[in-house]
Amino acid sequence: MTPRPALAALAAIAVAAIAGCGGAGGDAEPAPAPSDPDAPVSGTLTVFAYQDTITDEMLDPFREANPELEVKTASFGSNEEAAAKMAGGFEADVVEVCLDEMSALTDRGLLRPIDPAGIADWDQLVFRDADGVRDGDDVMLVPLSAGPQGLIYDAEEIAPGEIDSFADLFDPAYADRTALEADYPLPAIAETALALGFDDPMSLTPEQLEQVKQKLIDSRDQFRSLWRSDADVVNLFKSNEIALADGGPGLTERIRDTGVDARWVAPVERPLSWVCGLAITSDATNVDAAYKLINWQASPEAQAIRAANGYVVTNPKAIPLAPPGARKTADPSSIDNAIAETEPPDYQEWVRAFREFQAQ
Amino acid sequence: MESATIPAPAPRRPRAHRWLRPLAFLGTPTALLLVLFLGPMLVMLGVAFDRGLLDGGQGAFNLTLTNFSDVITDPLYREVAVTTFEIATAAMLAQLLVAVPLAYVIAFKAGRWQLPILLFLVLADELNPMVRIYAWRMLLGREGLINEGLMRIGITDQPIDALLFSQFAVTLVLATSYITYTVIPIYGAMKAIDANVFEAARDLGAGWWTTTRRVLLPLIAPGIFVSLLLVYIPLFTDFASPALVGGTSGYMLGNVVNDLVLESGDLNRGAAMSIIMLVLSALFALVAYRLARINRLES
Repeated sequence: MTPRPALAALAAIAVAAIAGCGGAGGDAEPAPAPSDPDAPVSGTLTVFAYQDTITDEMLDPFREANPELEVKTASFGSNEEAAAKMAGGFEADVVEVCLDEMSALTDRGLLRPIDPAGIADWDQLVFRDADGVRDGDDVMLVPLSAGPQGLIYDAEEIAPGEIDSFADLFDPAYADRTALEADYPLPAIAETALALGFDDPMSLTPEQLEQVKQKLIDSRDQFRSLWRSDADVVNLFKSNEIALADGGPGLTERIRDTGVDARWVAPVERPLSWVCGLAITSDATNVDAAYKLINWQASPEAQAIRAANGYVVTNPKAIPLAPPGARKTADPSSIDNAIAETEPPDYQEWVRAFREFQAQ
Repeated sequence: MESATIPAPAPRRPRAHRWLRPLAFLGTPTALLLVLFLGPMLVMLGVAFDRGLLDGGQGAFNLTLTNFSDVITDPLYREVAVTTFEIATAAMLAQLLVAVPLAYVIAFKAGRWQLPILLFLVLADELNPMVRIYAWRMLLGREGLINEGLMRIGITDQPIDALLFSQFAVTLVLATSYITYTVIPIYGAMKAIDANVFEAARDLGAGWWTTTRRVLLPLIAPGIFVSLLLVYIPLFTDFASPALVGGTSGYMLGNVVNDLVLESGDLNRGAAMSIIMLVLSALFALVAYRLARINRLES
């Protein structure tokens, strides 16, 4: 075999290997709730989630309560990554889903609707009726944690009460003293839309999106930096590079831990909030155990563990069980009126608008 | 007189088999290299030439050039490419301006300090890139050591904001991040030079600039060529430095590929852009090879 045909053969093998990988094809019918929720479960349950959902702290009580069940875990960094791996053949029973990135999973048909009758605390949960949680008559996930996005400011430089709107991020009085989240485009676009007075930031018209992009481009010098991780924005406040940024109460506490008098304020336009939860996959083989796990994660006890880790929980019954210092941040009543961050249908246009802002 | 019997020479193994021995030694690593290096490259090629591979999980391979035409014709990417070219070139030039004199000092003037300086350069490169970038943020920030120093000696009465979160900051951080890989090949080329040629040049009346231009630079051209290969090309793909010290003005091609793959899940166009950058790098290497006249020096 001469080298060229050999290369061609290798290429064909590589391409065929990828082409042959995975794909949807699981069950799209609602997963039936167990007839007896208290019945013991056995076999294997594979949970595919963000790392902080599958820590031993979160899962050990569940394992102890279900000794006949083997719980396997795997983590991912985004729903896009999870979807690519599942489409490539990775099999899981339960997957963590976030509303602002779930299309990667739903477009591939990787989720199976859930019967809310199988979730004991369903009627307690905040965001149970949010777009994305419900898709028409179907319930696609059980919301379990959230994170409101408002304004963080340094009270040594900005007096309490001085700011109360996302529009303050664009106020020339704070020029070169602000930072904007750029980890992904959604918060910056939605916040700018709210600052411009658009009521429904998750459903922008092309004209509105254009205005948002232009506002960001025109305000480039307003921002000292674009932050991409919690550690990044903590460092920006600590080193006195900025006095104002977008972010949540949990992040504010982290900034305060460094000695900065950081305060969080919910903007008058309403805060935004990411929402994540657990869903059953279309390839799930242990549906009863999947319901059992989701019920555990939605229970006040498990939600109290999430609260202790700095998240806003969706089950208010968890608050009395949470450590006193975490109750204020975790209380879901703080996000009663929040706008859930959902993935807009024209999200790629949002991504492009944000890239154009960054590239200027 | 007894005649001595000369023993018949042992039969030699057929000469033809000799060349098989090194091949046998090289076979395993070569095969591993092909599988581990060429395999991912072929997968990347497959992804770049397919419109929907891994996107939707449908499994059908549709050969297309759309990913390449999308990337090439998009004015957004062209704009980012220009910014990247400016920053990477400035960083490379800055490195050469430092690396050539530094390599000269190490090679001809450092004496017993030669090895410690080289070791220091290598150790400096071992530092975690994130730690190094954050260290630069502490140095260049409003309340950083450089601004504090400038204000203390009266050069400025308020912090210079442009030191951090600017294209200058990206250029500076990139330049210092790769300096080891710029210095060492140039140092290697200088070590091959007979120091007497500088003396001869002086004897013939050449000043330091003429000696540098007419003697030193042509002789270290192969080292500069290797530095360009090792450093200039990777500068185009860096995304951590622009993200952490670029503020709103340091978006580079590396960030675009990063965002395409990790944020948009657009492996196809991300792979296409990477291949375009690879091809341009190869062209650049070819041009640099010609300009460095390495083939002529070799002969």
